[in-house]
Amino acid sequence: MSASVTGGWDYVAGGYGATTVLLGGYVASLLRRRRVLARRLRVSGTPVPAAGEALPADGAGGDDR
Amino acid sequence: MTPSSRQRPGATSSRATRILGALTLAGLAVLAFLGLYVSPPDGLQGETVRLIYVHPASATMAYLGFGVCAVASIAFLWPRTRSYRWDRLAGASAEVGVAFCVVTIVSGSIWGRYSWGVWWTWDPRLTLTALLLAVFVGYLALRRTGGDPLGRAKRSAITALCCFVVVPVDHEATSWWVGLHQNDTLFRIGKSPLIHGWQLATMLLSFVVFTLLFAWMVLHRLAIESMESRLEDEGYVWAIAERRSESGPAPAGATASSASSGPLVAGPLPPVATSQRMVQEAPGSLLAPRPLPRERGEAGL
Amino acid sequence: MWRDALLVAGKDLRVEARSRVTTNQVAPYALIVLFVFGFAFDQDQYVLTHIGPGLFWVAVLLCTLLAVQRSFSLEAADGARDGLRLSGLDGGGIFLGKAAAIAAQLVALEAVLAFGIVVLFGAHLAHPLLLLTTCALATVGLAAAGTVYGVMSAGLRVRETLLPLLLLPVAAPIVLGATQAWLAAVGLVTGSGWRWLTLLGAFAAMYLTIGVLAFGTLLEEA
Repeated sequence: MSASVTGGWDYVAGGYGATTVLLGGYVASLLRRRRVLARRLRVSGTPVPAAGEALPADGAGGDDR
Repeated sequence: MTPSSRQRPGATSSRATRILGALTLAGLAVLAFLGLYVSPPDGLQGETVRLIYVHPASATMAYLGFGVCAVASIAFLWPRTRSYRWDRLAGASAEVGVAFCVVTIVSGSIWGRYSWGVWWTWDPRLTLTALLLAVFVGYLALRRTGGDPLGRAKRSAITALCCFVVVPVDHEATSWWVGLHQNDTLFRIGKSPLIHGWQLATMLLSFVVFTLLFAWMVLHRLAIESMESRLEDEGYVWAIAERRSESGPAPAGATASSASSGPLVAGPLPPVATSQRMVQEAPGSLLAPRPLPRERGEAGL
Repeated sequence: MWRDALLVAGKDLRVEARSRVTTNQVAPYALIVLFVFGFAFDQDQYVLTHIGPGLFWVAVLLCTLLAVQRSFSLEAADGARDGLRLSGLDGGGIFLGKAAAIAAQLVALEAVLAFGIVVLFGAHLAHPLLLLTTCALATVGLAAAGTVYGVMSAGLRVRETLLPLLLLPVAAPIVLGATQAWLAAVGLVTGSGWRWLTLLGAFAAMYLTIGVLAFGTLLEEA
């Protein structure tokens, strides 16, 4: 195997590293936004909805407001 | 995802999302191990073939995000299934799709620098993927414009359908036009995959793990959307009730009365932990007062 | 629907004929854009001749933004949009009318711009049939897409910044197809320019359909 065939670890590291940073950054932003909103909801005394919970303003199926 | 599976009152995560999160983390660890250590280097691409365990899976997740967004938009536009839950799902999955689209472009650019010698080339697949990212960034900007929630949701849903048209064109770009980007490796009609053994297994695992990650992200993004709209729609109701309960000692039986007649009418409100249980017990009566309509329209209407 | 379209188009064009915004502001702007391209590309006639078709369509795209914004700021003043909503005109008809008025203004601007690239960039316009067909299809596509996104961002506080963000990526295929067709027509690339017209036609048809179907809803919610 020539050097060019076995090489490329730097690109692999770059690709995996960039993916980790980007997706990790997005997850961190999700968690941060969640924390901030949960605090604001607690301050106003509003219960925190669970993931996927229906909200009263949603309008059920068939509601054509 | 029943509310009763929640552990802490202030948290939006449920047992299901925590299990999903743990599975995703474990899967990512296994994927990194298989992709970086177990699977062999390629004869042509050398070690950079390992990027195939990241790049196609994130591209697929971008398509999946935009696809879920389009389906949810149709469900919102269809009068019989209209519910803001679809609107929130569309927004959440589009944002996650945009995140994966950025990952696709960045990892592809790094890979392209090695394979083609350039960071970027005006290949149809690359150009269309960039276009896809641009139209969905526009879609997210449109979602953030505020105004009347129903109008915003309808506008966004119609835009999502316009934007989604790019996805099939992008996916077929490698077959319709001759470019630098290679064709599909795995799913070739009537033919066996181009890779085998550990490489094939790792690549398939990458799709599974990225789907788990996608689901986890969308669930949490959805929770954020719900929190935002609850804060906008009902926050004031609860805040007023809270202030009222501070103004004087709660009379006996306050919990029962507020549970039956709603916070606006029944002065004192029990602490958050209790009120949360009440939402589960009697959501209709508690939240019966329609939330204030959000700022209707804008200047000039 | 067609009668409604004619009414709305007539109204928009009459407003334009009296206010002369396109003639006095957008057309000079289009020529200035061409001059700016000339400065930016170093007055190199060879380069300018070769990228002329691309610059032409970029300039058309920029003018589309202005024409669309103008078309919907007309409706923003004096509650005109409410009048339009209450007029009982068919939503699809209003869409076709507004798109037709925008398209008519774009055709006039394209004539000015074509004159500009011939004079300033030394472009040779051959194959008039291909050029004109390309212009017709691209103009319809731009006007239709512009009207859809125009009404979507109309009435929003951020419309000036939102419209370009929405419309420019969506219109990119038109610029691509039209530029390629023109390059082929003037012999700067090999191959037939006609195949690009399929793309332009499909795009125009798609946005015309979306507009006719969805415009009423979008106008209600604007």
